[in-house]
Order: sequence, then structure tokens, then C-alpha cells
Amino acid sequence: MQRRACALAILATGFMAGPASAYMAYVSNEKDNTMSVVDTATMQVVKTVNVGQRPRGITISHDGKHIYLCASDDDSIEVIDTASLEIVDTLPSGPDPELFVLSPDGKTLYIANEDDNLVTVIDIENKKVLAEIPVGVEPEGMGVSPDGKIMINTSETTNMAHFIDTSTHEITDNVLVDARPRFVEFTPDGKQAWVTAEIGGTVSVIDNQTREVVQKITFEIAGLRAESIQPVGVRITADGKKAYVALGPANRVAVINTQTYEVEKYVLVGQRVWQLAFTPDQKTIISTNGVSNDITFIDVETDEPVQSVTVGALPWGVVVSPNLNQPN
Amino acid sequence: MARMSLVRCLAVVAMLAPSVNAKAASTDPDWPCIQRKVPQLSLGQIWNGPELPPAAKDLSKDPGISALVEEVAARRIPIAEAQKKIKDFAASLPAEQLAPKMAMLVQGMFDHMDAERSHVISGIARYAHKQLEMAAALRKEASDVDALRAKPDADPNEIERRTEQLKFATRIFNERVQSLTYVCEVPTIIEQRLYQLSKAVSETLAAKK
Repeated sequence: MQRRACALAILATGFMAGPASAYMAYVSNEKDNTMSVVDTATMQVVKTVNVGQRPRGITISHDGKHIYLCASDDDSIEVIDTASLEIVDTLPSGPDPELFVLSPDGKTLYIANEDDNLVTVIDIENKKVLAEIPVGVEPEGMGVSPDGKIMINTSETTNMAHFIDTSTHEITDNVLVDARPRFVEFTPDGKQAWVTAEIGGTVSVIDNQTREVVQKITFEIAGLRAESIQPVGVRITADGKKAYVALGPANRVAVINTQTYEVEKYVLVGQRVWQLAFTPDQKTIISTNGVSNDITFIDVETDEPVQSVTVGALPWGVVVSPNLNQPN
Repeated sequence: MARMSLVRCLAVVAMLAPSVNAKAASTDPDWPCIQRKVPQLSLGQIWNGPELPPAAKDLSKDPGISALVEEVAARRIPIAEAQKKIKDFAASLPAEQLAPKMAMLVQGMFDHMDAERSHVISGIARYAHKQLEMAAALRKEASDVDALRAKPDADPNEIERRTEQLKFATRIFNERVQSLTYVCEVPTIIEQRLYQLSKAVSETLAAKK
């Protein structure tokens, strides 16, 4: 009797500590052509999946069933089933897809094609190219407003954020930002777009109504040369209060108060910090650190690094499943 | 057959040499690597702890630390072993000495490994120059051998000897092209190691808090 109770207790504990609270993080490893699957509760790699050549941009369908992955050197987007972790389909992407963004309704992908100065719009369900929008030279960052009406693409060489109307696929505004804009993130209320500039070393905050830069955020870290501060990925908390900016070879993530635009903290995470993703419960933000070949879990409440986990070679992007208990 | 080899030699040299040229010409003639050239590191890239006091620079006062720096910086020592050496050293220190000695260690590792890295980077520049010279010499020799072959009174033994030499030199050139991929990784490997070692130091300090 006692033994059975004990076994039950162990079982119960097992369930509680086990995958019940786990989201899965998926990390694209640019150099060894793999994707690491990381359990966010145990913070361990549970599987490494072989994917196409030079995987970079990565995102996930809203139901959590499919991962979309830019296989840049294969000129395609791979669709990976999260249950079987197998590549089940590919989508047409245009040449050299690097980064993309999923529309809020989950039906459309907007893809930056770095080599031919286009943004390709894909209907996921029918695997059809809906439009090819000519933009500036070397398109890179992609962001979409929470209502899905506006999409922004940044062009690395033209140094602009191009505002594109998603119903007409036309550029409506071009906003000049600093050198080599890399990434776009809308605030959850859709009022602002935050655009990082890798070489400029800044974040431009653009008002989505007036389409003007209302604030330019700069970074300063003691003991670091200014040129090693290279802002890339940005994520803003769902309550809109804090923004996290990955600073590349500064090896840190900056935590910014979105009301004052002040940097409140620099978190040392790993080498060449590139992209970021929150867990859906917003308790954790994960950074990919390309040169140290790891990802770091940062506690969003304290902004302390909790744990670094070694993944594949040159981790680039990261996305977290929207739901618990991803079967693997 | 010898004719075929020579043609192939020429094709390889013609193919490889411009690629070395193109890479070098596009950015920095001293930098043939695909990786971005970062000539020097900054301490802030690896250290988030308290600002290091000027005394941290004074390694000569502590031969124990400079020996430890030499030891952990050496890439033949597996990283886990090097990190353990740091932790063991920290554990052997009296509490009041931990912070100053660890500051000295971080500064020492940074100076030592940044210098080593800069040395490698200038080595890569020399390597790139040598490769360009070799490519030019190979092109010249290939065209000389071709000219020789075109002469009706050329000595067949001489043609044979020089063709063989050219083939050998081309092989060396190709092997050096292959090695460049690895050589270019070395600055990053040093940077990775330095970061991992500094992390071990931070952990010893955090553990004492």
C-alpha cells in the first residue's frame, strides 16, 4: 500500500516536473544546417533535426503544428511538422530568403529576398506567390502590424524602412533610418515600429501614424568599442513596457523602458547575440548567441541570465511553440 | 597526358588565384577570410563584472597568475579542464584575495589571448600575401612551360621536369587554399575560448556572493 502510494507520488511529481509546463524552442543553426529543439522547462536540447542549407529565419504557425524555416542557400522555405519533426513540405520563397514574418491571421508569409531586392508574399495554404514587391537594396528586416494592415521591410544598403500596405502590396512610405537596418518589431498596440541599425548602432522608433522617427535609442557600454555594439533582433513584451534588443558582438541584450526609452540594463549572454524570442507565458526571453554556439534563457522579471544551453553551430534564429506539451 | 595535366594545372591556378584576389580586393588586402575582420577585442565583450582596477594589470607581481594564464590559454588543454583549473585556483584563495586575484586573472587572460589573436591575424595577412605571390609565380611558370613546349627544338626532358615541378607547386598552393578555411577560424576559436574562461571566473565570483 505504502509502496503504491510512493509510486503514485513519484508519478505525480514526474508529471508536474516533466513536460507539463514545457514549451519547445526551435533554433536555426546557420553553419551546420540543423535545427535544435530545446525543452524550455528542462532547458535541454531534446532533438537536433537536419534541415536545408544555411537555415536562418524561423517562425511557427499559430496552432504550433508547423515550423517555417528559411533555407537561404536552398532558395526555399521548409515546412517542418512539430509532431514528427520532419520536413513535410517546401514553400516557394524567391532567391536567398533570409528573414520573414507571418501575418497575424497566420495565412501569409512576407519574405525578404536579399539577393534580388524583393519582398515575396506567399499564400501558405495554396503555396502560391501572391506578389513580389520591389523594395530597396538588400532587403532584410520584416515586421507586420498587429492588425495585419501594414508590413515593413528594411533594406540594408538603402538604409530605409519601407511601409507597405498589405492589401495593395504597394509601398506607401519610406523612412530613412541608420546604417544597415536589420530588424523591425511593432509595439503590441501597433502605434510604433522599432527598427534596429546594425552599423549605425541605434534603434529608430517610428510613429506608425506620422511615419516619422520619434526617438533614436543609442547604446553605451563601459569597456566596449562603439563599433562592437550592433543592434539586431528586437522583442517587446506583450504589455508593451519593455523592449529587448540583441546587440551582436557586444555579447549583450539591452533592456529598454519603452516609456522613457532609457536602457535599464545590459545582460551579458553569449557571443554575437542575434535574435530573441519570448516564451508564450512571457516569463522568459531566449537569445541566440552565434559565436558561442549557445542560447541563453533570460528571466523577464529580473532580467538576469538564468542558463545558457549549447545548441548547433552558429545559432541564428529562435521561435517558441505557442502551446504547451509539444509532442515530440 | 603531360599536356592534359598542364592544362588542368593552369585551369586550377586560373580559377583559384582570382578568387583570392577578389576576396582580398573587395575589402582589405590583408584579409582573405570570409569572417569579418575584428583586429582587436575589447574587455567589455567578455567581462560584465566590476570594473577592473589598474592593479589588475600588474601580473608581474604574481607569477602564479601569469603561469595560470599561460596554462589555461593554451588550446591543447580541453576547455573543461582549463575551467576546472580556474575554479580550483579560486577555491585555494583566501576570501579577501578572491576578487583582486580574479580581476588580475581576467585581465591577464584578456591581454594574453588578445595579443595571441592579433598575432594570428597578422599571420593570416602574411599568408594571404604569400598566396598571391604563389599564384602569380604559378601563372608565370605555366605560361613559360607552354612557351617552351611550343618550341620545335625544346628538350622533352626539360618539359617533363618543369611540368612535374609545376604540378607539385600547384598542389601545395591548393593545399594552402584548403588550410585557409581553418586558419580563418582561429581568431574566433581564441575569442570563444577567452569567453568561456572568463565565464568560469565570473562563476567563481558569483558563487562567493
